Amino acid sequence: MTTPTTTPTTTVRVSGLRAAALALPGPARLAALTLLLLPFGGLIAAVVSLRTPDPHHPVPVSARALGSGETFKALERHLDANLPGRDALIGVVNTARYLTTRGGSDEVTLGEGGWLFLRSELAAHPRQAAHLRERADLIADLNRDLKARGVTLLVAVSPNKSRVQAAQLPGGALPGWTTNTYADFQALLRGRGVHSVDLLTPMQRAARTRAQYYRTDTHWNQLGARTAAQATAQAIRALAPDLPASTFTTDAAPAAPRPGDLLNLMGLQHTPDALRPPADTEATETTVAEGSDLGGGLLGDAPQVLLAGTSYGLRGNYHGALQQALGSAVLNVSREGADFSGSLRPALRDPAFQAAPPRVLVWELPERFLPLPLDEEDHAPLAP
Amino acid sequence: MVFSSYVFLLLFLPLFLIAYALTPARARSLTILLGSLLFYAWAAPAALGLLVTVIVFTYLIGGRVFASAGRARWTWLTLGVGGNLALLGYFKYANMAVGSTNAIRDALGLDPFLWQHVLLPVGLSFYIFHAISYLVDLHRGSAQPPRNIIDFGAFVSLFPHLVAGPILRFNQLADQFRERTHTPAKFAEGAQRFMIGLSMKVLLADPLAPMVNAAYTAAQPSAADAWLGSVAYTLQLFFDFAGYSHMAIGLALMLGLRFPENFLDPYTATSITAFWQRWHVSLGTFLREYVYIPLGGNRHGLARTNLNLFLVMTVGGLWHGANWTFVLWGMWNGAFLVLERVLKKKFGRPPPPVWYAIPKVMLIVILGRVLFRSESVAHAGEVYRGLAGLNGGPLTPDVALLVTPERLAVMLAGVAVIYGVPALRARPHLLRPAVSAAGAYALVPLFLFAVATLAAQQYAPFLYFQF
Repeated sequence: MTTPTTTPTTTVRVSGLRAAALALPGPARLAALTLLLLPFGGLIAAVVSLRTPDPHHPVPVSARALGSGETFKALERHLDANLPGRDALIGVVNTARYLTTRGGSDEVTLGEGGWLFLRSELAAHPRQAAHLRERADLIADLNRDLKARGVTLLVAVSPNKSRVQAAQLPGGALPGWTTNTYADFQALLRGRGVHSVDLLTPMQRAARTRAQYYRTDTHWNQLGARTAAQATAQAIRALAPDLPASTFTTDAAPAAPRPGDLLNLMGLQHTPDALRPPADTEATETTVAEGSDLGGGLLGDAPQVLLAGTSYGLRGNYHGALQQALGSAVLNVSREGADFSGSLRPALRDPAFQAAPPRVLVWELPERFLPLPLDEEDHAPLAP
Repeated sequence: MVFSSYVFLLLFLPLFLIAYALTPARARSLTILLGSLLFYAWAAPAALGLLVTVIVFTYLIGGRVFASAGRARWTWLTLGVGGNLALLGYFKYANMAVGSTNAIRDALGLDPFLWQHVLLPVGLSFYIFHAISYLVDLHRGSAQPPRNIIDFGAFVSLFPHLVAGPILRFNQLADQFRERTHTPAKFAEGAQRFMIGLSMKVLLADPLAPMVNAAYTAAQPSAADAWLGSVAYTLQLFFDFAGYSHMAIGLALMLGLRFPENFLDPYTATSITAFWQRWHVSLGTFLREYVYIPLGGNRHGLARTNLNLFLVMTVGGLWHGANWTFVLWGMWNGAFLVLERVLKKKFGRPPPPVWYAIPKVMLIVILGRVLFRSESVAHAGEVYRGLAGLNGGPLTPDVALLVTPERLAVMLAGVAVIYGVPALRARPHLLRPAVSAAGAYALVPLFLFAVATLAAQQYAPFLYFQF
């Protein structure tokens, strides 16, 4: 500390201290000042952070938690998560990284021409085959259960962006893995008698002429969603040709910028377009049923197709495009952050489902979750 | 707690500095002790008792060593050093000993010993070495005992060097605990050293970690994987550890304490001997003072000197961890030290030119580091196969994914710092004064950028925390 001290042999007068500080070379003075101001400014920020309520980062205080160090670790996580200006810091750093070396973040890899990819899609998974089998077995059990209740299950795996838009990856190709998650999983499902729809092939074909995914987002864009929806609709029709007919119309809003979730993962959501990979532009489409005869038919007002999906089921007007391509209403119970079975489980437990199950249950799930180890809840059967 | 974290920078450091500044001079050791115990408890609360035990045990034994003479003095020293080494041996080497014994028993068809794996407390190797140096310095008469156990506890647990060094001999700090000065110049110098260290760690070491990890977790690394991973690891380890040492020295200066340097441009060394005089200097000094000299040093002829050198490096390797990879790494270095010594004696040739000597030393260092970084001897063998091109040439996909322009730029910047800074230090006239001044001022924005980077990066502990 630069405050005057009175150790047994040394006394520094305040006036002498000031003079000594002012006599320092400029860079040394600036460094000292910075290392005085930063921690003390930071202390205020840290106190603000620690006083911020945050249910996602609780701090356990008990003898056991203190003894194991969990209290300290949780306190650190709480502080990091709630530090004022943290997003701005991340933005500054990642903007500098992007501008100087075209570097991404821990989660995002930059491709060609401003394309961004989720790094987890590109990771190698040594135990992938075992995890795919476990998931396929789980789905086969569900399929049997649903079949007994008169419900046809259709699995629609939304392919990785990196697989469909591989030409935009750095180097213009997927890493040379020896495994193909998408094809392997389709084969596993077929082998277990589970209906599935191949969304990858039509999307890859379509991607040769027009992008099927947003450049700055992990999800399919409206074109990709439409391609996927048409393939899904075709598969549904093959399983249930006599669905009640409805008419739909699609309107488009004026084109507007659409910054994607990968820009958020890079912390660049508030950075001007000139300093980051530019945001996508989109004329957002909305599909609505003509009149009010939503699914009116054999089962009254209840649509006979249920879509339980992830954020893909909520993006790019996939649901709307599916209804339009099918010519029949589809009830959408997709959820954000559903991962593997996050939207399916509550749908299956819903009393409405139990009382009047749909004829076809479309389960949309992203390819990138398939090679991962099962979550705790996925060790239990899917059907209640 | 690590220095490169917000909890240290924004919570611990300011609160500690406030407490330190408000504490009367005579009680500042107590503030250091309490602050250091909190710092330690943050990382490993369960191991705090062990640290306190070592402090109390060593202080009490040290009192006996100082107060006694002759055989009794030697007996107390043996008890103190033996007790500390026993703790180190149990926590650090018991797993390895039992594992190796069980491997032999297994080969002989015998049942293995049942064994509960022992967890290594953070920083144990460092504070045990500090405790041993205290006892030996008292015995040699090269240091006076501290005023009280508070001063001694503050020396052992001093948070700037508690968990990853540098390893300090007691007599280097004893006087400074009795009296030290606090000046703006010292604080500013400490601030600059801290800033350099944090910038090294965050901007030059951490970005390389994922690429190194990928290369060293590949089951069969290709030639490109193995060479890229090993060169990147050589850079990562330097900036990680030298960065930590800069921060430790800087923090100590801010408290009025001056630590000796721990890195003296080691990658510009033109011989392995010189390399080990410049890399992790405090460990080298400790081993020389407390292992090499007690073994007889160079006082008993060339053969014995060479054996001593070899043994000291092997012990140094083993100190880094209870794994045969570290033992072999120590032997690798010991062998080259001996070889250099023998060749010099035998041929007495003039030193080779720098353009040849530095790459040669670096090649020896890089090849040795394969053992240092690998999980097992078998895996090190696989990396050596990769280096020799026996696992194919091109990068494997999971490594290739992590070879980004950013990381290549970081590697280039690292090389520029390692070789450019010493060159400019030797020839300051090469830079115009304005450029030099701008470079000095640039440290502050660089540091602030490193601090901001902490928000955007995943947790990256210091490599030397594991030792």
